[in-house]
Amino acid sequence: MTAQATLEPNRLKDRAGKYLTFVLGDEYYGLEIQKVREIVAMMHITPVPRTQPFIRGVINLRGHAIPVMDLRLKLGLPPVEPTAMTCIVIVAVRDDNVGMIVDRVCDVTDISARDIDGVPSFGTQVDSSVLLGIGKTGGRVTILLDMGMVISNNEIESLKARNS
Amino acid sequence: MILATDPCDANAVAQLGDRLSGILRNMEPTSREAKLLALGLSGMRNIETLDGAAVLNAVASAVAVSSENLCGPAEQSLDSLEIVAAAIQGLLESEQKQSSPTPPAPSVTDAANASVARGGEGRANAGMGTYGWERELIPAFIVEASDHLTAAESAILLLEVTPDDAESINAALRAFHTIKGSAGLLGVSRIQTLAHQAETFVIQARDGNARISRGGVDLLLQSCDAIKSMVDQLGALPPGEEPLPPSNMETLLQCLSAGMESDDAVDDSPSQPSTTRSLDHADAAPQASSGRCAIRSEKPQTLPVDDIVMRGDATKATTRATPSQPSHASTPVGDTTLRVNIERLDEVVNLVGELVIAQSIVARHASALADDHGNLARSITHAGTIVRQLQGLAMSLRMVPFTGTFHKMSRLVRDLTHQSGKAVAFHTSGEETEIDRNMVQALNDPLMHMIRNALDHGIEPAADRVRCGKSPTGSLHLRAYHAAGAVVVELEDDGRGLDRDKILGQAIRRGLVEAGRDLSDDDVYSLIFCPGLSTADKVTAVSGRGVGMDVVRRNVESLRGHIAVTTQPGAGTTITLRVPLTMAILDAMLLRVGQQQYLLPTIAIQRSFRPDPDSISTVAGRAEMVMLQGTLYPLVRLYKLFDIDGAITDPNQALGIAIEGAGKRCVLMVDEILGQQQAVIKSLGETLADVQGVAGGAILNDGHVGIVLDVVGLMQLVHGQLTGVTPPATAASSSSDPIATAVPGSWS
Repeated sequence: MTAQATLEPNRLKDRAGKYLTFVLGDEYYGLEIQKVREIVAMMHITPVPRTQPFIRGVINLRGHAIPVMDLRLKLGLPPVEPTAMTCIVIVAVRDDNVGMIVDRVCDVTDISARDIDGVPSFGTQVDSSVLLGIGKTGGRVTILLDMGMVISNNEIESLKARNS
Repeated sequence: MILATDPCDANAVAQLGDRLSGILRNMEPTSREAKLLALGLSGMRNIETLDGAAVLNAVASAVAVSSENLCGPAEQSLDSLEIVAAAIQGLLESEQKQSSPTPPAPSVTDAANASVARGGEGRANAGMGTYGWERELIPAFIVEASDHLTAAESAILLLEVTPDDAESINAALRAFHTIKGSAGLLGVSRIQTLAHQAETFVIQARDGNARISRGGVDLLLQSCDAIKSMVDQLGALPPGEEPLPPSNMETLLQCLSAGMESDDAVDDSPSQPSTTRSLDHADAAPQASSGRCAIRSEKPQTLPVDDIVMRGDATKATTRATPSQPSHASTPVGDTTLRVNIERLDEVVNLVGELVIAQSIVARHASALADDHGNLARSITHAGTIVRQLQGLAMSLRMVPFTGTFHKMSRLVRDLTHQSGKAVAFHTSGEETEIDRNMVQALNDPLMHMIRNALDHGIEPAADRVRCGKSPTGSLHLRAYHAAGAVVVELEDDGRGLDRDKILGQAIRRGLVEAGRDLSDDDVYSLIFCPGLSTADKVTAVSGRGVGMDVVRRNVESLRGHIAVTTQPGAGTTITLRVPLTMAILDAMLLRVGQQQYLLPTIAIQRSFRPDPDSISTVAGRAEMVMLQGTLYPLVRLYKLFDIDGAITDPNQALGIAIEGAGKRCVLMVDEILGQQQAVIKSLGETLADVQGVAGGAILNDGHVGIVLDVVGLMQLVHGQLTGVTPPATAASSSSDPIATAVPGSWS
């Protein structure tokens, strides 16, 4: 890791806590567990016309219409056909629920402050604004996502150039 | 009614009662103590009707006596009696601390009546405004007082037409009396005094066998306004503080108390210098002390006969309320109604909407099994019937008649005709037509603007009317009725009608349409809804700024409604608003485009048809037009607009749906219409809040989310695309082309 810490240590400390980890392709990602409402199996998604490609549409979650994003497309990864493991993670961002399609959900990991690195600079290849930091636990690297930024930031550059 | 009882106190009393009756069961029923206790107990049960403090005193003394004399059978009873006695003592002390003789009462009104009955009438309860319970009563008072003011106003308006109507007099009396009592209880002496004077004024009319003249009606209506303005202030005031009196308060009080002799002060009231100066008063301008009677005795020697005849005519001509009005307006809110928080009601309606959809999903799944399970099919049909009944009931909970709105409009017409000096007969019909409460409120503004316009521009001054061979009294009809699942509100005047050339001239001057365009009548008349366009020669306080009709269209469209104008030069104009019964449930058509399904609000649909190959033409090789019954519509291929694969691309195989919204029209090309569906519109969340052409989502019968199309957004989208394809320069240069010249100006 040629990571150059861009965050102050105490801000990193705030980021310590439980993360839901999931897989996109061969990368591990994490998002703060308190933002996760629930995890549902892949279901019928109604496309919404005239939206960006990463917005897959809306689902009926017990009578509520919830928008669903394809996290792969959002982060610039190539799309894949859904499998039996494909899930929709419902995330609460500011009073609003949004679904995120992920390849597979792993587990809930407690990541302590000393296991979180600041966001390395990837130059123009990757928009680091959506990243909280990089977690290192259990011998693997987990990319910690800032869900608020993932949802509100519509101009994310490709993340795909990076290999773990 | 809003229950104003303090729940803690009521509970405490009820609990004490329960404990006391338990003790009573263990006592010798014939003993003096037991009798006393039983008496006290029954008094306590009726605490709402009796003086709370006295009852509590009686019970306390009964308990004290009992506990002293009680011996033998139940040692435990003695202990519990002591506890109860202590509790009652505590309750009493807290009551006394408030130094109020009033027990927790079921409503402000009742409490107020009680206080009035105890001789509180006319007393300025200056020191009373410092207790917490009053603060809690104020919101209830504001609600009740507003109701009573509305009742008073409609009764007074009715009195103007039929001055001897005993029922109207009593309705007005009841309203003023109740307001007076409640205000007295709350210690708001200004409201109390004014209501008292108004009440006295009406009582004298009733007992003196006199009539309330137009001046008297003015006076009473102004008193209502003054009370209302003070009531409205109450919510924001600290307890005990008096609301600011309106500037004409003193004058009103003087006139009301002196009203029996003279009403001239009304017209001289500083805050309303001219509003009440009406047609028949105008000739008597310097009337400062002319001794015009507000209440007239019927005795002929005291009246100028001409005056009263003229008055009678003018009143009849000005405002005519329909016979159904008094029964609605003057009946006080009785025990059979219940005030419910509107949000809870909305929630019930929404949930029932969900239930209907959930039920249809169950029915759909069950239909696959129904062959083997006859009972299942029957039960599901049965459940479906009940659910639909429930839906009907839930919807009706929020339905209110137009009565209140029409009443407001009568008042508006009355005030405006008095101002302008035009004689107008206002007729209403269908005020019993019911519509969603939320819709009624949203229709108030549009109706107000329409009436202002009709009175200002539509109906001519009497002299002009006579010259045209019309009756000098104009007529204005306001109608409401149900038609095809929607509510129609119509305003018809018999005025001069819309001036086609004037509208067109204005529109060209303001750059709304290009000069030389050949526009259909409908297109020209729809221009009156454009912001900034006014045919009034001068701006008056009433209208002429070109804002009103724009507001009308905006509001009606935000209600998913539709607006139409028909006019005949010299004979009048009719404006027709069509709005759905409710915003909670959307009547929609389910469309299919490729594999996608969309819901299109039914109210926007004009007709559907299979496009004839000959009726389609193109502009600049791309923008397509469909000729439909002599009108050209832009053709919008929904699959192209929404980028959908697998849809029918040949217009002759597809279906065209002519839609209208935001004063624009187009034909949507879709694969087919799957059927009609009722839907509860849901937000798609903040992330998808601003998708143009999409109003929201709704759960379809198959359990999936269906996208509800937003007609106004769609029109903007189409409009934008059209201007993108054929920029204005192109359109202007090709103006010799018959297609381009016939294009309605509103969307190009």
